[in-house]
Amino acid sequence: MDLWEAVDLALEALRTHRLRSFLTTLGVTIGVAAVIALVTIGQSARSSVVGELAGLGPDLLWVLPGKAKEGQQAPTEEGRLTLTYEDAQAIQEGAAIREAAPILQTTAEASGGGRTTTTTVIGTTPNLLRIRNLQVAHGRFLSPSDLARRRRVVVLGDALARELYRTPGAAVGRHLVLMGRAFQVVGVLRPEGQLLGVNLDDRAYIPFPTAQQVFRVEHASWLFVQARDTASIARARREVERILLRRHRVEDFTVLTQSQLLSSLDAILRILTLALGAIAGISLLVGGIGIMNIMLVSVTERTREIGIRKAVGARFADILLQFLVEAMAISLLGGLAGTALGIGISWGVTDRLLGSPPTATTLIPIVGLATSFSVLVGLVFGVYPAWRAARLDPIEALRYE
Amino acid sequence: MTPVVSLREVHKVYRTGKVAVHALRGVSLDILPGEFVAIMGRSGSGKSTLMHLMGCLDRPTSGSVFLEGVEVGRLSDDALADIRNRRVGFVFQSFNLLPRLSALRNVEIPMVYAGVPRSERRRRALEALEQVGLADRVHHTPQELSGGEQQRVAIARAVVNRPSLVLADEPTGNLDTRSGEEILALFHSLNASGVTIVLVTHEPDVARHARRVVVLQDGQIVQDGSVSHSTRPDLR
Repeated sequence: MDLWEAVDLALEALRTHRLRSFLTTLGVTIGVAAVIALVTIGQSARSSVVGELAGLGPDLLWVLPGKAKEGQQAPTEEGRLTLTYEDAQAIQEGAAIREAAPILQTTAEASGGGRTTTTTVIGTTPNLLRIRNLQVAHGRFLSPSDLARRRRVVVLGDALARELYRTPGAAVGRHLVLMGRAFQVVGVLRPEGQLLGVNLDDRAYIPFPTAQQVFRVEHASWLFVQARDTASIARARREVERILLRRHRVEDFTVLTQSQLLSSLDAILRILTLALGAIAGISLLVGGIGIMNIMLVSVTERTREIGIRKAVGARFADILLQFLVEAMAISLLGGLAGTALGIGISWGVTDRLLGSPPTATTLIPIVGLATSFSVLVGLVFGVYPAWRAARLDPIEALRYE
Repeated sequence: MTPVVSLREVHKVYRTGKVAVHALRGVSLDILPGEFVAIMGRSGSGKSTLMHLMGCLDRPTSGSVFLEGVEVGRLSDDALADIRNRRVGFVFQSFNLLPRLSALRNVEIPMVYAGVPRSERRRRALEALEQVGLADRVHHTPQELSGGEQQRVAIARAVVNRPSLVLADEPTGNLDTRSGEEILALFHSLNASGVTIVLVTHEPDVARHARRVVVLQDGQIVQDGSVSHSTRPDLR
């Protein structure tokens, strides 16, 4: 019996029990769709996150309070704050350093234009403008004299300005109340977009000394440092470490480079994606068990048919092929439907969540893997029932009622 | 002349659990090309076992079974399947057609396993169905056919690969007298065209159609002889 004959028989058998075939196929469809959707979403999220972070600039260094444990890149425990405004100023003097800025970040209620919202408040210095490559849309950014005089001035992110004052241009010169104190809006930034799902435009920038005073915090949350160029990142890092060690006497800080941050983030997201894929893979496995179940029922029901076929000359391989192809037809049909469904879901989700559909380079390997895996599932879970059918004794099979 | 089937001192013992059933106790039998043989005996006499062995559905416990001179007892399952496919045709009491397939598709099955190309398969199946008088019912499924018609489909299936031996196990057992007579007439005309026929039955009226009657009792041949159509075999 050739393959086409077996395919013919398989499709006929599936048509005979439409509901049963549909439900079994559905099991595989869901499994394959889950694998494709979850892995694609994970992959897309990973590449988009890594892309966003890389967009911040390769010459960026983070100085975090607390010492990272052996074998880890970032300090894990929420340590005591150890970094200061003066640290940033000292680092600024390093030969391999272009800019350094302290960040005092907190969340606070902001009221203005008759509305109130909760936003992220960042106390920093004018240096941040160049480090983060921020663009001023209206007015100006923080100035050295704002810092020197501890002025109550604020620069708004685009989204925050829109929320409170409707038009960003209208915000400049208006008043904003932060922590019960009135601030004057001196500038609005151009939109930056999102980073790791955080809206970078929902922010209020105030002078660092003002933030210290208003929030009653002495230390910086972290420092942003920019190396002179990409070639001097390693040198900049050593310099930062040397300067801080001289000032603190103990190593109570951690310096992270962009590439370190990227690789650890990438590793985390990769594991997350794999875990998602594994969970989805289990549902595909369950689909396979469904195939095996229904094929065992089918073989029992058709014992007499098998006996008749053997009596008229079917060999072991003929019967094996007939039932194996039937199982694989279910899994392949389920695989194709699941692929379509999975692409659809991942398309919708990534488009909505990340603003861009998955790329072909992300999709093709995942689709290839999921479909071949679904065929494999049919093969693995179809072999045993088919083998049971093929080794039936013809006389006993003919007697079966 | 090489016998179509030849059995030498064949024993068959079935073991079901602890009980051993001695179904055949030393049967030797030659069936020559062109013969029309009836194998008679009560139920439990071993006649079905004998048919299974002649049809290569089973192997003897001891002794030898030859099909056209080839000993089949030592052949693999697949080799036996090939022999069933090409050299033997089965007709069963309960027809054993595949219920979802048309008469045509049922008759095609042996040719599927023989590797006959589709177009030729169809042509030969139609031919076989015409031969049994069902040319106008080829697209009917078994449940749309009468018992007699179903048995004729089964006969068409049995002969479509041009076997040298047709084995019929109580072929008229589920049919009314008239249909039964029609089926037996069909066996006669097949036999006339040169096909060897072995008919297993317990009905003397059916055995009457054969030219030789072999009577089995308790797994042994107790009577083997030609019969004229005027005398009836002694069944005791």
